[in-house]
Parts: sequence; structure tokens; C-alpha cells
Amino acid sequence: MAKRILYSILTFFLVTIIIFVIFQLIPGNPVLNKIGLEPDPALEQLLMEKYGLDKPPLERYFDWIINLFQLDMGESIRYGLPVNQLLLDRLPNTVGLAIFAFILVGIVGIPLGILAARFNKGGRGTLLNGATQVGIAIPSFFLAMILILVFCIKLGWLPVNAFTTIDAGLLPFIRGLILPAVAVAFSGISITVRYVRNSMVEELNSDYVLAARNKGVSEKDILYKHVLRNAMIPIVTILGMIFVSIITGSIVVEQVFTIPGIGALLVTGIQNLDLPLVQGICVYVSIVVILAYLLLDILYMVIDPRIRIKE
Amino acid sequence: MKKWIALLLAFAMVFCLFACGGGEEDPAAGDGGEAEGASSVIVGIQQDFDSLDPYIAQASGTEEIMLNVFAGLLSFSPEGEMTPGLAESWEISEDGLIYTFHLREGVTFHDGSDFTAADVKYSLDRLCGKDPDEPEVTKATFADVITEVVVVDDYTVEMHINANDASFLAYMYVGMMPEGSGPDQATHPIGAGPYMFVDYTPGMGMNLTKFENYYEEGLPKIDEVEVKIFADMSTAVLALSNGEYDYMTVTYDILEQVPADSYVIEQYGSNTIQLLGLNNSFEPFQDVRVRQAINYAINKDDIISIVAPGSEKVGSNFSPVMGFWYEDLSDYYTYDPEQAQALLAEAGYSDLTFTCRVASEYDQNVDAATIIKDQLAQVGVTMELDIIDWNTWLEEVYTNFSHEATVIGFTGKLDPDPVLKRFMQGYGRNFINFDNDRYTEIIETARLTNDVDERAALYKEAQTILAQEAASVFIQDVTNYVAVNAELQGFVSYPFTFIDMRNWEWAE
Repeated sequence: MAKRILYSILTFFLVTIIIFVIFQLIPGNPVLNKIGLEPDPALEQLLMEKYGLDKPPLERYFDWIINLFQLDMGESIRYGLPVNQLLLDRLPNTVGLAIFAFILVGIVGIPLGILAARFNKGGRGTLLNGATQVGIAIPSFFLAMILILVFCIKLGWLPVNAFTTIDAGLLPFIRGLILPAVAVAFSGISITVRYVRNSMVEELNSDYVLAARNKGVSEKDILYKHVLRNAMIPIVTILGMIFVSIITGSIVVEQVFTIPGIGALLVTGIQNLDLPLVQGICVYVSIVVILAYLLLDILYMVIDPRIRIKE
Repeated sequence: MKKWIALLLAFAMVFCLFACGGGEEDPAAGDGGEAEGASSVIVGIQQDFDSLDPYIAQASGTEEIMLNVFAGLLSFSPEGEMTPGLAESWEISEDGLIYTFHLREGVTFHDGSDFTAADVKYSLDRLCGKDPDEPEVTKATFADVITEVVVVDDYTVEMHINANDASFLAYMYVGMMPEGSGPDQATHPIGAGPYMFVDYTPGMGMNLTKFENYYEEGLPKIDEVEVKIFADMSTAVLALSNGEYDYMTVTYDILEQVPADSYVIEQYGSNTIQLLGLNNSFEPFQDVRVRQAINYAINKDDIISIVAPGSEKVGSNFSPVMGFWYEDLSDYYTYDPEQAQALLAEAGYSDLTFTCRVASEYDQNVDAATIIKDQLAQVGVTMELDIIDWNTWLEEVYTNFSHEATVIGFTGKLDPDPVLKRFMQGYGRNFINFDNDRYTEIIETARLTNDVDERAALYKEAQTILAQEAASVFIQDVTNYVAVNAELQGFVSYPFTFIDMRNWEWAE
């Protein structure tokens, strides 16, 4: 376990180095971007010093890392505000969207997968394969536009700008997240259906199921008490991956629905070459990913005693 | 059996979510919200605010809104003339070094405090970094010019500047803020403008409410304004067609998608000059004949009709919007490919090849460059396109001048000096390397000339030099298009980006 955590910390360090180097290589100067077309040499000088851009890269890296460990991600060049504050302001929106989408994946994907496994006969399997393939392949932003066209323009059930922050109340907040969450969750649902089905079908064909049937255990008990539990390991893995992809993959959907989340902030940051901001967001995302996988490993042990014993 | 239960469960969940939403009817949706007695307008803007503090903000997208929250000593007319604002009148000393402003009495800020000379001094000291609590220069343009601000009495202020500068007044629309309010401006802006700041949600927008004690009698007319940021143009167009914005700046390519029955498209010259900048130190362009040939070879009308129909054709780096200073040179080089070929042959550059670097973020510039490429090909000139990103453009083209040509548009200013000095020697961003002694002399003299007629004559001469010398190819004053709710009246446009909300009102 300790080893596992140590690996996570090492990964994090590697990630910070990669992030920093990449953003040093991008051409352009964030201060020039901030000033724009009206030159102002004095202000330029002032801002270069303020954001430490006049220092050598190595020094800047260590300054950044040292501050990171004090939980200080520096100040955004475009906004002139602490990156921490900018992230915290937008975090509830992104997390809300991610949780909503993840719940959709769970409550739609898993039952549909189980159903598909139970009725996996004849041409239905092929049909389902085709349907989920389409679901996986459809780009989320495209689906988002389709959803807007259908539900906002044609049916008029929701305004296009439906999103409100959680300050306006939980219900309006959830209402604004319905279409975005569906757009984000769609491919995740399709993937989950496939995995749950395949995993269950495989288990259903194993010897212990035959034994249980011969013993007279009811189909219901076989399915939910034995098969589902054994099929859970690959499902948890895929759900973990889907969670990570939801957290990182909602950038485009946030843009489409004008949800002021981390993704929208990242886009603004990149457009304005706001190094502290973009680096901060990358650190945040990598922490989430690293933690998610760590959690996944721990979850395996909880679900499957065999893994616990092996360790 | 279980299939039904599972399906039912799934449906119940989804239905529940929709039902929750269904019950919550948004009273702000719909037009104007006049049913409740308070009138409101929803404005769509594309960029998030870079800072709420106008002294720290740099983006013009921020200024176009915040000019409604703040009022300056001077205001400006739609024609670009400086008019009385918080100062009722002003005098300039004979040497042009002291400006005396007489302030309007009885004006209050949004926080209820009285506007006096001390606030003016505080505001300008803060801009110049002379406020001991906030010693950071926020606008160097002011810090370079103003030496001292003197409070004569409660309603009289003197500004001492270090050199005669006829363009000084044009900067005096900068917003005034109450003494000591600086540190809070970024979270809760307080000015004396027509609208008061209510709240701001990062990335989403801002709410403004009418300031009852605004100094202009009877203005503003609309009670509430909601400024909504949109991140994606294609979604914004859908929202527009759904009637979710009352006012939104749009680009030409989406005009057709704006529903014609519920919106009026307003057009106005933005004072933004789009030009094909020719680097005058690139060897072939050192020859004036080559630059002229390029001018003859380009059909500006074609570019305008494709990129931004309705735009004014220009012949120099100046827009007809500022009529008083403008010299009409739009037909200086009429489209004449034969003349172009003759000039190129004479100069010995019949097979000229050069590269044009354009920033990919600006479709209008990329489109214009593409058309120019075709037009030049017809006279045997090869123009290669190098599409780069905006940040690279700023560094490579605009700072290091490492380009042969580029297409760019410069946004408008209230004074001719910042517009025309772009091409004088010694100016740090003379990216076309225009080198003309007479031109530089004119710009320097005009800046020191306080007589407006004399000054205008000088700027007209400067414009003529740019055209004669074919400093670059000045194409058009790009037209801005705004979709305005057909019921919303009182649209006023200015020579630069400013959404003036003061005169808006709903039709009866």
C-alpha cells in the first residue's frame, strides 16, 4: 500500500515537470497577450517582473513547485487573481456536472448491461453491439448540439442558456445540468453497457453457475448474488476510467453549454497563454486522475479478497 | 418482469429530473420581463471579464461593459468628440501644460458618497501608481504624462502634464472612483456611471441595476441589465434564435441565422482599420513602386463584399467614422492589375514572392489574406500564407517585426494620435517599419498643436503621406454587426467598442 502511494507521488512529480516544460515550449509571451495592441513598455516591464517571467526557467520551476507544496498555485496573468480562487469558484460547476454524468452512467449503464446479459440471445446481441458502438463513437459536442436543437429549439422544454450556479438553488442547478450531463455521459453509458454485458455473459457461462443451477438456486440469486459480484472487478475498473474521462473530458461540453467550469477556464487560459492558470489546472486534473486510480486500487481490495491476500 | 422494474426505475429517474425542472419557470425568460414592472435587457458577450477593476482590466471586451458602471471627467459623443462628463467645463493653460477641470456639483457615487476633487486626485494617483497604498502603476499612458494632480477646491482640479499633449483630453474618459475604494474595485466596482454593479459570476456574467442618482437627467431608462457570457458562438446563435438575448454582437457569417422577425441588425463603422501590412524593410518592399503595385493589384471592394459587406473602403490608416480628422483617400489606388504589372516590371520584381503571416484567431483577417493571395496571383505575385496563432503573432510580427507582410485590424481610438503614430519612427510597434521623416515630424508636431483645425490639417497630411508612399495596403473600416431585439430602441454606436445602455428602452 505504501509503495502504491509512493508511486502516486512520483507520478505527480513527473507530471509537474512535463507540464512545466511543455508550457515553456509554447511560443508567445503572456504579458504581450495581456497588453494587446497598445504597447506600454513600462507596464510590460512591470508585469514581467511581477509574474517572474524575467527569471530563468529552472528558477521559475522551483519557485512554482515550492509554492505548490504550500498549496499556492500563483496568480493568473489574465485575471490578476489567485489561481486557487479561480479554480474554487468554478469547481462546484465541474464537479456537479461530473457527478451528475457519473450517476447517469451508473443508473442507466449498469441495469441496461445486466438486461442485455440476461437477454443475450439471437440477433439482439448484434443489435446492441451496433447501438453501443454508435454511442461510443458519437462526439460529445455533436450530441450536445443535437440535444440543444431538439430540446431547446424544437420542443422548447429548456432555454439554451439553462445553466445557473448552485447559488440559485439545487433544482435550477440540476435542471441546467440535464442536457450537458447526458451529452457527457452518453459514451460512458455505452461503454458500461458493453462491459457489464460481456463481463456478465462470461461469468454466466462458467462452471459455478452450472453447479448452482443444478443445485436448484433460483436464476435471480445466481444473477445478483454470485455472477454480479464476480463480474464487478472489470466493471469497477471501467467505471473508474469513465469517471476520469468525465472529469477531464467535459471541457468541450462546458464550452458548448457555457458552463463556467474548469474546462472553460482552461480554454481561456490557453487562449491567453496564462501559464500559472493553465499549469494550475493541469496539476488539478492530474491530482484527480492520480487519486482516482489510487482509490480504484483500494476498491479492488475491498471487492475481491483474493487481491487483498496477494498483497 | 425484472426488465420492467429496471426500465421503470430508469424512466422514473429521468422523468423526475425533467419534472423538477418543469415546475421552475424562469421569470426572467421571455421578452423584457416587463410583466413585473421592472424592465430588463439581456446582453450576450463573448469574453469573460479580465478584471472588474477598470484600472487593471486590459481587454476591450471588459471596457465595453464597464463604461456603463464608471463615468469619467469627460464623456464622448457618437462622433468621437469629447464632451462634458463629471467635469462641466475645462480650460487649458497657454503652454498646454495645465488642465483645469470644473467639476459638476451634486454628483454621487454608487455607494452614496459625494463626488469631489479629492476623488479625482485619488483616481488619477492610483492610475499613476502614486497612491501610497497601491504603489503599482496600472496605466503607464497616464503615469508617463501626468506629473501632478492638484486639488484647488472641492470642485476644481488642476492636472499638470510634463509636455504639451493635444491628445491628453481624449484619455480623460477614464472612470472616476471614490477615494480609498481601489482595493475593493476588483470584487465590487463602484463608480458614478448610469448602472450599478450588482453581482458577478465568474465565466457566466454580471447583473447591473439602474443608478437612480445618475447625473444625466432621465437616464438610464432600463431598470436591470443582465450581461451573459457565451463561450461558443454556435450555441449563442441558437440561443439568439430562441430569443434569449436582446443584444449581441455577431459576425457576418452568422447574420443569416439571426431570425429576421424578432431582431434588427444594426451596423456601424467600428473605426477598426484592416490592412495588409507590408514590412517596408523587406527588400522588395523598400521600393515604393513595388508597394504601389501591390496596392493596384488588390481589389478592396471584392474583399469587403466577401469579408464584411457594408464596410467603408479606406486608403489610409484612418476611418471615416472620425469625420473631422478624416481625409478621403479611398480611391487613391483604383484596382488596376495592368498598372500593377507595369510597376513591378519597372522595379524588376515581376516574379515577386513573399510570405504573409496571419493570426488564425481572426477569421476576417484570414479570409482577407486568402482573397488577397488570389488577387496577387493574377498579377504574377506569389503570396504564401503562414497561419500562426495570436500569441505567436504578437511576439514574432508585432514585437520582433519578423515578417514580410501580415493582415491585421487595429481597433479604434478617440484621438487620431494613437491611431496614426503607429507608423512613426521611434514608436515601439511600428511593425511595418515605415520610415518617413516628414510623417514622423507631422505626428510629433500635431501632438503639440492645441488648435484643432491646425491639428486636423496636419493629420490629413499624414494620411496622405501614408497613401502616397503606399506604406501598406489599407483595406477597410470593418463594419460591426449587432443583433438587437426588434422591440428594443435607443441603439447608439461609437467609434470604438462601447455598449451604451443609457438610451435603451422597450417599445410600447
